[in-house]
Amino acid sequence: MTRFIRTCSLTAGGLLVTLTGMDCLYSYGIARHPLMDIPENQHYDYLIIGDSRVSSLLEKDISEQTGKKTLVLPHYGDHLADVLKLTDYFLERGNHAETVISTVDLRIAQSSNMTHEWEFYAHEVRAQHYLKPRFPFLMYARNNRRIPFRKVLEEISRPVNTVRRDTRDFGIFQKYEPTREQKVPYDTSNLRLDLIMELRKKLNEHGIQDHRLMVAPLSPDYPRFHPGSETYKQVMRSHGFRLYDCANVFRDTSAFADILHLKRKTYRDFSRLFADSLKKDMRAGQPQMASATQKAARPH
Amino acid sequence: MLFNSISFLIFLPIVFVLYWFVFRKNLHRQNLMLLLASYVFYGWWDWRFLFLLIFSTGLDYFTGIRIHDAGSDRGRKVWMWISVLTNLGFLGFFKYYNFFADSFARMLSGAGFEAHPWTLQIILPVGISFYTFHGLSYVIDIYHKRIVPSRNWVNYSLFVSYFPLLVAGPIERATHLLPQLEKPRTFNFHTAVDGLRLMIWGFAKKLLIADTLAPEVNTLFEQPESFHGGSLLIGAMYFSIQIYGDFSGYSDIARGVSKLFGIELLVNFKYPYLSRSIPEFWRRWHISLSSWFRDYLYIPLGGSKVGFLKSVRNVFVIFIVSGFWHGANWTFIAWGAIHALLFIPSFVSGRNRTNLGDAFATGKWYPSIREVLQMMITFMLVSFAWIFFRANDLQHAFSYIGRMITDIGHVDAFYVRTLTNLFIPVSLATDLLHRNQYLTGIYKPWYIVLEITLITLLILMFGNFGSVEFIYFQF
Repeated sequence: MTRFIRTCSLTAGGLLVTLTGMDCLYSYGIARHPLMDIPENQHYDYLIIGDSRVSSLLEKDISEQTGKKTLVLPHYGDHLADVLKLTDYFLERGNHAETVISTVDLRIAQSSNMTHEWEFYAHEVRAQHYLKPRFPFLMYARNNRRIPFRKVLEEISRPVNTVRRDTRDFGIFQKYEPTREQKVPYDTSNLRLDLIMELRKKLNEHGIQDHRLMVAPLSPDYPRFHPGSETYKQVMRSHGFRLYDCANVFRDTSAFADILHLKRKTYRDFSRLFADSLKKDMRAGQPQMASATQKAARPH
Repeated sequence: MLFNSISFLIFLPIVFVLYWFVFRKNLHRQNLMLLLASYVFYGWWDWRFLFLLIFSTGLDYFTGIRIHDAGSDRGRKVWMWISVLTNLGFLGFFKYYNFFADSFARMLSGAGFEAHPWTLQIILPVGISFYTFHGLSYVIDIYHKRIVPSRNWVNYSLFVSYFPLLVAGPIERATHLLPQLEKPRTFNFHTAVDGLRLMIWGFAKKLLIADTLAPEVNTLFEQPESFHGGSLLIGAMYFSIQIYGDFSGYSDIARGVSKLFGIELLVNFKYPYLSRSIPEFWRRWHISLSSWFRDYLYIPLGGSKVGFLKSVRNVFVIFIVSGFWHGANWTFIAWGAIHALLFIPSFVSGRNRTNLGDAFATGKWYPSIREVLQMMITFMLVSFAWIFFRANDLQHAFSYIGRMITDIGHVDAFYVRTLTNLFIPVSLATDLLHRNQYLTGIYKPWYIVLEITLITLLILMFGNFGSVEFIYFQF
């Protein structure tokens, strides 16, 4: 009997080690979004949260220039509902921010979302293909944060993940293809204001009263966006939101890795511009449009 | 309670610990604990089912003693028929009432009469076909003086309700299981490890093979008109593998769980798709059921020892009743009849008793070309019959077969390239490895840990956990 129990224990141990190894591989090896980077019980002055374009803002630069503790939290999905879910994660871990700035535009209001529970519990997006039908992995992913070893691993890997995030450059692998997006304009009657109000309500419930919006930069070649964008911004302002309009900050397509994302070399410029806007807000207490200091866009 | 559920993963270790550590020294209490655990296991679906189970147990326990103690043959026969008719009455009512009512109404409608069948909303108690046959074999064996009745209510109840086999078999015999329950069990490391192995391989068959094939099979059978005939042929083969993985997987898990308690159950499958003929297939598929029908129906009817026509009649009876046992639908009867027709040529030519030994090529580990051809033909015939088993009704079956035959030269592109096709040779290859004992018999700790961990990981990574119920639960 002792031999059998020893064998069963060894087997269970082997399984746990292997599952943990696989979990680490999924979470740290091929992670796409930094749920790992959300610390616990921290107090920030600024939380900038949104889709992948938010990663163009360097939190270190913004923190230094504004003198305020800043966290930038991009979600590599596309939808407002995903931003809501990411905010949940931030708040659940006992964090707080004085000001939350979330990205909005027609694109992330109307793209497909990834709010399936298992996609978030995966800690990253690509494991969804493994986790979706596989209940045991999902259970493991949901509960593994409670394993002390897992939390230690998270702490160790955070600097590595931060370096990875800070050196991420869409421009390395992406090819600028302006015709990639379809030319059908967005539906301006479907702005998903409900989700933005839901986010505001959630933040208010957690004592965060200052919720601002940002329209992230887009390439001038992005064909679907412009017809409805002004309408979108007007609606947001009419509901009392402070809006940072960075859509047209960069008119030179050489600043872009693709029609959505800036190249890494432009991040510092964008971060500086955005920090300037925040500083002006701090002084004047009013939102400022991000000024177009870049060279004029090439004619089109 | 399902084997592939969290509740069972919690239930089993608790019962194991109580069995070997708390009640080990007292056989009566050990059996009582196992009996109560079995009732918990069964009642997890619906506690109301327990009443029928306990009633059936009590009936057979009581009539078994009366048969033995009866002073005359007539008395013994009366008590036996009381048990048989009552058991079959309950089985008939819960399982077949609506079928007969509907069929009778349709027959009257066909003859021009208007008929409104009085059908009832009857829930079929899980496992009723299995535990009813347990009880029947017990009573009939007492009648034929093969065994003496048990005078221990706990032991007999455990024989009927033993949780690993209660819901989907194997259909045990009192001569095999009762003696094991009546004597103390000792823990054996090799037996327990074999049990773990059987369990994990059983889960692999169920979750990795059967449940992954299930959605494909469902799609093909639900809309056969949307697919080419070649795809439907593949679908029939998929179902063959699915039902084998599902049922043999369950049996393996049941045997494996039972080995953990030091109790051996009957082997229910012996590599049936490596059979070289239909008679051999029936010696390897659902062995406990086919042997039950052989011993309690075929032989009492005279078997093959009566005249030619009566022998052939007996073959048809046994296959059709076997089909009907599976469910209240004409498709199951058709399935049984097809197998009877496939069996008869071998029976008539006296070749139904060949290949009685090993799966094939005793002493070798690969078959000859001739054997491969025989296996392929047998597999195709069996797959054809399975179409009726899987179809919703006869019309559906004929529609499927018609579409399959008329368009058999074309296969939908998906079914040409899908990796799911690999499940068929992988399943057969696994059986071949097991048959050649390449995967068993090694008890080194590192090997056991590696084997179980690897298979568990494969199941976790590629298995389907979409709550596909065991097929044989519906019987």
